[in-house]
Amino acid sequence: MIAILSAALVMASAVPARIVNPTPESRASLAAAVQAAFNGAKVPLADDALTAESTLVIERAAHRDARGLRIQGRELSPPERFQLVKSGGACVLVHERTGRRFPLDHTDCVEVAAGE
Amino acid sequence: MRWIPVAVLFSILTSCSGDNSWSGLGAKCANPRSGVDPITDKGYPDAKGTLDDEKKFLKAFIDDTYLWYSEVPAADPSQYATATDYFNVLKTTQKTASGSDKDRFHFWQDTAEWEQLSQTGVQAGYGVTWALLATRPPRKAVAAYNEPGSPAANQNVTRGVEVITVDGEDVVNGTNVDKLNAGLFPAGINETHIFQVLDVGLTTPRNVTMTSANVTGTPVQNVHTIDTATGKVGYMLFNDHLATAEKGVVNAVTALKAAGIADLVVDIRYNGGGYLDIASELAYMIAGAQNTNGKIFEQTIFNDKHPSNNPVNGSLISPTPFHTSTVGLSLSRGLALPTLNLAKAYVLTGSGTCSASESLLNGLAGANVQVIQVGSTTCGKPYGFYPEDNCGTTYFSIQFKGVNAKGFGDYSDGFVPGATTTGSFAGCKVADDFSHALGDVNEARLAAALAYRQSATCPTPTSSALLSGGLSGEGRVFKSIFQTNRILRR
Repeated sequence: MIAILSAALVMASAVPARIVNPTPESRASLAAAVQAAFNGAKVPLADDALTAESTLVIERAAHRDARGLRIQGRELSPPERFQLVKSGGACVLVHERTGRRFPLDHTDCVEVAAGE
Repeated sequence: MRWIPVAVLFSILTSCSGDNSWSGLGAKCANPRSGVDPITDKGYPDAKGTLDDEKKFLKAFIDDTYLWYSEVPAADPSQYATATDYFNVLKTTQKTASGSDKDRFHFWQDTAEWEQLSQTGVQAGYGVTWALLATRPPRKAVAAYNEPGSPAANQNVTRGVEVITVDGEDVVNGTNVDKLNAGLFPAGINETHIFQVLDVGLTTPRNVTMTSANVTGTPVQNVHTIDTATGKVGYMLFNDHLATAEKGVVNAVTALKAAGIADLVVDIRYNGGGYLDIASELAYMIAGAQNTNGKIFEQTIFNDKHPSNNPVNGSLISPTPFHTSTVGLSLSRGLALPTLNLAKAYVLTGSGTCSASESLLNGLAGANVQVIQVGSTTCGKPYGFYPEDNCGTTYFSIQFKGVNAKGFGDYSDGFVPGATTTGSFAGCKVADDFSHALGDVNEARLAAALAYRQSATCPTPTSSALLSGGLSGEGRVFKSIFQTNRILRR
């Protein structure tokens, strides 16, 4: 019962966050989390991913034809989204579609201030 | 618009049943895959089959879902060595009014390649979009624009900078095109190449060294106002309908509205489309509630076998509305959109203006917003498709056409500035001007739009002679490494 209550309190205190002072280790942790969410598929991320905002958006790479035109010019499927939250002192990446949570090692994050 | 997440789209498409005869023929593969699809979370559905099975699937798929199924010529499948060879002929051979192929978008790609994901807008490269004004000798390659903070921006490889050599190979007449392509379009990060470049207006080249990196594209840039005697004109460079563009266009319109603009110029000359919902959002923000009330942004029309239901996912066919709030691509869902309530919009276009970008023009026209088009003819793609995986190949065949609130969608030859045919827009044909920055009032297309706003006249042809150094034209613009063909040629 106590464990359940503790977990609920942790969930309740989860707030949107952004990464501060990214390091090679924190970037590797973020990349590993995203890769795990997509069953091992490698997903290129920017070095400053999640440093300015709490949402990470992943979409299909923009393939283009031989004329340089985007193949899928009318994209109808939404992207995948992740939310970084600070939960009980930990930085946790949450996959919005599945609800899966990925704690990030070696990562410092701060609550996103209102208006950021 | 019913949304299907990227990761589950394929599983839905490959598992739908109903009366689609093709769905029961799929996943019977000459070389079945094994394991788990990293995107769908599910095991590959492939079972052992034959090449003939794959061809039967393609024939049934085209017969049922292809927009022009009745125009596909008879073809003996046994005459084609591969499934993709067969697919290549399963399309209409008819021509458009201008003589172009009616279907220029029939395409297939390895599924593993198609399914590659990335953080939205992140691509390996230097952060410069090259415009190839001539791809064969004497070649000419210039920068069209760059991304803020990118390796190219840090080296001042800005619009109009011409590439003279790549790793010592002459761009204009060099014979080692592989070297040129490899240097201009790095395949991954941490590739270092040396360029000799010539800045606009100078005669002495300089050397720059650029190392490729994962660069984040900024799809909406250079938002500012231009003071005129008849009020402020807003300008926005809108390069891609990426998910992050939702935030970009909302922020742009919010700022321009606060600035009290009287008119707006949207520069989509290099915008090849993407999320249709973003086009709808921007159209609504330009037109406002009154102009769009009770109207749809774009209606999807499938072939005559499917007047009511989407033949791919079985859902009822419903139009894309004018979104009055954010759909939640890169902003929170449900935020009310700001509106400019304009009766007229100036749009700068090029041959790279395609698909969802063309929908922006057409959707505005459907809402009775007058579009003034300046630039060159758009690509002509009022069509779309649901990519379909079978046995490791993803097939793209045109399945629907988009029409605006007035029922118009016949622009397969593109929108021609100033043409008088049905559905065309007033405006001016003006070459792309690489001698000036995008958003500069002296840039030929923007200058023409501003002049048209004052006098409703176009610049005379001699005006193009003012473009310095021959840096005008249309060219082909390349944004990413995902190419199937070589770009510069012998």
